[in-house]
Amino acid sequence: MKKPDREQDRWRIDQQPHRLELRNKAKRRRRHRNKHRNDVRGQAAPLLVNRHNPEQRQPKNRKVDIHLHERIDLEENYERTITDLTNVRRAVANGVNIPDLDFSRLGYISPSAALLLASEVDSWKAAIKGRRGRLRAKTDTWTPSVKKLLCQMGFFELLGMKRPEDPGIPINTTFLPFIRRNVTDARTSAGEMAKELRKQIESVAGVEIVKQLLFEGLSEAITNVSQHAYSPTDHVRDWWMSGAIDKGLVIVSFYDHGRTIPGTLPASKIFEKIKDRFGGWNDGEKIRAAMEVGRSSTGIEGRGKGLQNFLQIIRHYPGSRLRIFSNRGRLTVSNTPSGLVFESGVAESPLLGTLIEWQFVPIKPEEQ
Amino acid sequence: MNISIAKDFSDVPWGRFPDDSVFCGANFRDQKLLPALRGNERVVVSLDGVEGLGSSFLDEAFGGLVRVQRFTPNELKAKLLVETTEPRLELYIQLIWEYIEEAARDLIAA
Repeated sequence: MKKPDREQDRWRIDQQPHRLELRNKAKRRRRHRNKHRNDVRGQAAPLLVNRHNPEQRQPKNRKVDIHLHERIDLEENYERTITDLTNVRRAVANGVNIPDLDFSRLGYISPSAALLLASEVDSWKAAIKGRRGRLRAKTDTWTPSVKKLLCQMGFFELLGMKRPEDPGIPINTTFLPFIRRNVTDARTSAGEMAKELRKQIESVAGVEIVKQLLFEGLSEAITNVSQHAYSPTDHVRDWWMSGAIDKGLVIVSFYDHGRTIPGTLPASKIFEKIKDRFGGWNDGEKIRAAMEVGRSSTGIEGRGKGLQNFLQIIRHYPGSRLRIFSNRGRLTVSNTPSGLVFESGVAESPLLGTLIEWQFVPIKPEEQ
Repeated sequence: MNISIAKDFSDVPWGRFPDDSVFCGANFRDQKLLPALRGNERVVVSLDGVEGLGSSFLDEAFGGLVRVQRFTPNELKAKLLVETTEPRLELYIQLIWEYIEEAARDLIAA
């Protein structure tokens, strides 16, 4: 191949000054683009690692492998879990290629954290639409129990990856296949999905659930996403749902990537009324207010009753718990012998969406 | 006239508007309840067989009769009977009448 003739090139520029101007303009554009990329990467935590040079935090090739911490859950490791997941979301937003999922350090993943993780990687997969090759995972280095749980959940099928062999070890937890739906697709199928999830839980737990209770909560969660969480112009308008049974404890999780409850509540007509009632106004209190008073970001009469439906199953089963994480706020409602106890709080790291989690132990009719 | 939500509409009704679900409260009201109420002296709605009924569905279907279609609670009490043979669904009957009354109060307040 003929090498470019530099002298000839300089001559061209001397003769045609506009070429130099065009070249400088292109240089400026490149410099601006790189500066912007570096800004975005500068915010990322070291868990996004350049696969060719792990010491380098700002990869030039825009490829990052995802490494997770040892424990991913929303109890003791909330902040670290959210940071890990936010990094994945950033990779999605920046169009970064994720060739490898490295979960070799991961020893425990809770059902809700697994749903959050799957939703983030799922969004990335949808965003790149197969343009950047296949996602790989060296699953032979993963902890067998984590691998088994993610297999049960349908993690690999969802991401279009080859499902690894079942490690064949006994574990106490069973994850049910998780469900993803777009707001539009859900119009015809969400009710059936909620019913199907209830049947699967009953089949694994071996106990009947009072069917309308779970249906009420899930159907209102889906309605809220449809009405409030996304704007029609949002690229992603999906929600994710999963179930798990852990030694008799049923955990049902529902997650969306929308504008969050605290993010939509201030538009409500009842905002001032609630604000007066609760005095303070952090994200946790906003969720609590929405739950106790009823919320409507539309300000239309008759709206805002939905969040109360989340409580029906909690009221029914003693010892059960509802948790809502939305932006920086979190609300826990526990069914205790003295009644329902509401606890709200604020986290340092925002969850970029809303997670609703029900935990309950279904009781056999003869025990009630 | 008898209407069974589960058999004549859906056993998994949910959502408020068609943007939420094709089996939403607004569709049930406009496609099933309204024609029945306009063409009959007595309409019996059976809740039997539904998986559950969310408040968005109930409020739009029944509260919407007052809010949108301008029925009065007294007119509805004379024409509409909501019933179930399943004890687990009995609570919804009370809720339906609460939503109807609340919609009437909202209309007056507005």
